[in-house]
Amino acid sequence: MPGDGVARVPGVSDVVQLFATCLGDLVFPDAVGDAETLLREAGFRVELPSRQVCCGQPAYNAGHHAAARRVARSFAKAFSRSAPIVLPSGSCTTMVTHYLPELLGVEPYDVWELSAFLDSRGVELPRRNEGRTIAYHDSCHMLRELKVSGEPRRLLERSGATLVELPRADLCCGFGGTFSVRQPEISLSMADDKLGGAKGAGAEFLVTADPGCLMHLDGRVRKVGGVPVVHLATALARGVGAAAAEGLAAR
Amino acid sequence: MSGAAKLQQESGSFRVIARGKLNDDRIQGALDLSVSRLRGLRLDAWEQLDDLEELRERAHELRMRVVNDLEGYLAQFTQALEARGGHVHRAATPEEASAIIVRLCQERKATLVAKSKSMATEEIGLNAALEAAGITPVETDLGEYILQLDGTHPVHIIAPAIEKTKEQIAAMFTAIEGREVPAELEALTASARRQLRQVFLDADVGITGCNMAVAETGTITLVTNEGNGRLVSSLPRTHIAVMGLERLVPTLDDLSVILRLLARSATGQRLTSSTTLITGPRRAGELDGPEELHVVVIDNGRTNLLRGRYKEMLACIRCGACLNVCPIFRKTGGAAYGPVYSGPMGAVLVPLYVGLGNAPDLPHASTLCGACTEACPVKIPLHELLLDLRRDMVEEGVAPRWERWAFTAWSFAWSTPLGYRLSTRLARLGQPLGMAAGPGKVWGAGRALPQLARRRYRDRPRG
Amino acid sequence: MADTAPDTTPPAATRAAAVAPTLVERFVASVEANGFRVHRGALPDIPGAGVSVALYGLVDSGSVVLSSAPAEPRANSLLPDVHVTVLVEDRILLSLPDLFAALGNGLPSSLAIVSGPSKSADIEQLLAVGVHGPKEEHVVLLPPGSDPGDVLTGLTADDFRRPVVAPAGPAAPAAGVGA
Repeated sequence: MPGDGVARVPGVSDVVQLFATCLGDLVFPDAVGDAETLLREAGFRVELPSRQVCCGQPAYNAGHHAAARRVARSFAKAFSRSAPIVLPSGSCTTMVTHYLPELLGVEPYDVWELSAFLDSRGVELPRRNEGRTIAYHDSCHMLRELKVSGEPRRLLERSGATLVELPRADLCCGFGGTFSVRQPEISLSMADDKLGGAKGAGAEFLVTADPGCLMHLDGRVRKVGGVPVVHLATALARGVGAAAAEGLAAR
Repeated sequence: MSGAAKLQQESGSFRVIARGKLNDDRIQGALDLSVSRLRGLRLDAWEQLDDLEELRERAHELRMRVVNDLEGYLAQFTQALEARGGHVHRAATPEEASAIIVRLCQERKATLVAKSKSMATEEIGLNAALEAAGITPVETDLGEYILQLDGTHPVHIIAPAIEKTKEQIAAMFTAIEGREVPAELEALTASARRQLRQVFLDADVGITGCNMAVAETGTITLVTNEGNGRLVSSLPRTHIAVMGLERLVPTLDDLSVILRLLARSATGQRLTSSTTLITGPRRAGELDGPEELHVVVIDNGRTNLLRGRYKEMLACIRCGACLNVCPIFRKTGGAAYGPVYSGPMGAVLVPLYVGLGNAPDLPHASTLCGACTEACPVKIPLHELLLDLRRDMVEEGVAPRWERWAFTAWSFAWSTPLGYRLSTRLARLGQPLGMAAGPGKVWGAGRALPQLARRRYRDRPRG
Repeated sequence: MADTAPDTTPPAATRAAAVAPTLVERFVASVEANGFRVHRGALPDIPGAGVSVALYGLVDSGSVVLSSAPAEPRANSLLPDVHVTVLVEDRILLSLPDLFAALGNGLPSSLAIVSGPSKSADIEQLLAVGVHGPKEEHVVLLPPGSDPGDVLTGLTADDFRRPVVAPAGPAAPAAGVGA
């Protein structure tokens, strides 16, 4: 349930399992570190099961179910059911929640996207984004499959940010996994619309909770310039200004 | 030799056509304006419905009831309509359907046919078949008429001529009328009214589609704003209605559920200006109305959809709501998908009608964002069906072999932590090279390449 | 208002009744929102208008329901530039389910639910009125229990047998039409 803003006092037995996800592990380890920092600051003991690999989504979404199943089994072997599993990724959370159990024939997991978890536990946040104007980009998985859209915004506001809404926030950013290379022109046009919308809304930074969207939009900004894009965990754990200073957000 | 619409498309054609549309600012503007407007109208109209979710559930359920017993409901419909003096003809293929209609026209010595909007008639290539038989069909929907004059296909099922300008239309009308028709809305409307009024009055046969047929009463329903559906089905002596075999509802009550959702979902209206229920030809004592009513029921691949989950697609009521929320349709318009069906519903239907190998781009012309599923009034899980189509492409061997090999190899590498470590270490080493070819090169054309971090997160020391 | 003015506020119950719109008022608002012009008691004087007597009116969708019948040719509501519908107030229903319940299985050959004048947004998404069907739709409301024949005096059966004649115009563009 959404937090009521009361500061928690967690017991030392509050354990969570962190799933870095393949993109997090390989391309955005700093964002994963920021996610872990947020969880520890909130008083949780964070385990990083060492046998974790990938949820199998890239293959699943491309129709390769056998390949997806093979990789997804590594998730079942790595994670126990004794503690909630938290991911700094909306799309991977969707895969594990909605598709993986049926793919493997296993029971559903107690799995959470990071902001949904933090918000549900009523976590307090230092105001690291005081005075910053931020636009939050809903990934399609979070918006429509997980129905998590208020939580990231609440957390950003609690961190002191002034939020501005993107125009046509319902429109996909254009990543879509293999779509980004099957229909690159359409994909880029959609990215440009999203980034242009952030600029037009007066955002200093664009924040997203999905590494797929992040890779695509940040990649575009690094190529043609635009509003810097930052992972939600980084925005909350360091503040967008510090992130930029530390070279974690291109301009 | 069939004039049936060519729904098949070559691999790669979607991207080629999309590029052309993306480079045309005017088309981008027209598309955005149209779909945003229609989406906004639907959202406003849906908000007015207190029982929206209940209606959608009911609509889904009643349509699935029909899909699960198509022959039963068709039989009921046929019996009810024949009792009222109508005729029902069944056709499996486009050729059969066109042949039946051409024969009906020839038997009645028809030379001029007035048509109101029917995607089913486009599917079967009816206009070409009529013309080949020396019969002239004239489209009377303003947008379809404009496109007929232009010789092009509709690009949106509700707003077919989205891409035409007033100036382009004025030029066409001026050529026909033999005098200057200014590029102003009132003048263009008056010109169209003049041109088409004569067609309604002179046509020997009127051909319409049918949005929904009611099995219980033998009724067909025409839904238009222009009033041309009524004109086409009232003035000519013979009325032929063409419908897909799945376009049925069991009872009048069920029809009211669909009608309460249809116009609201398509254009935001409560009902269109003209919603007409036709139950048989004219009755004794009536001064006008067709003397004969023939309903031609077509299959044309619909029964292909009856396997597994795909039969949910047969619930579609052709409202266009999914087109108006699709971020890809917003960029490309309908042409990239094909001449009849486009957007998410087209991306699901066409591969099922013509075979995955004959429309391999369509299931992947999507980011699976799910907006279509959210917008569908009859709750078809469109994006999940696209995912199923992608799976079938792999299982049926339509997906390219190299792609299957790549995912298989990847899945073996990543099925264990050790394999993952080794393959990602290699990838990191080969990063500069790997990114210069294949997907890396495509990505890199417009975006900076993602950099594999020097140290994986899992390898960082844990305190 | 003077402080000593008598209190003329009606009692609460009457006020509530006066505030809640009647079915007829809701119908009027609904059809007006759809572009109908509403008249009470008598036909507007519009030469050349086609006149129909409605079977029912619908509040929810703002519609008049026209049934084909010997005395009700379809052409009356299709060909003229202006169409007038006569509707007796006690034939106003709420919604489509009510309409179908009232009709039972007795459907006419043509049941036209008309919810506004003919229109199209096919030219650059701009609203054009009167594309093929009537450019104007009017409704004449008659009090409950009325006989529509009362306002149709002066019109004879011949008026309902208007020949189907086109206004003079250019020839059908048969030759110029491509595939």
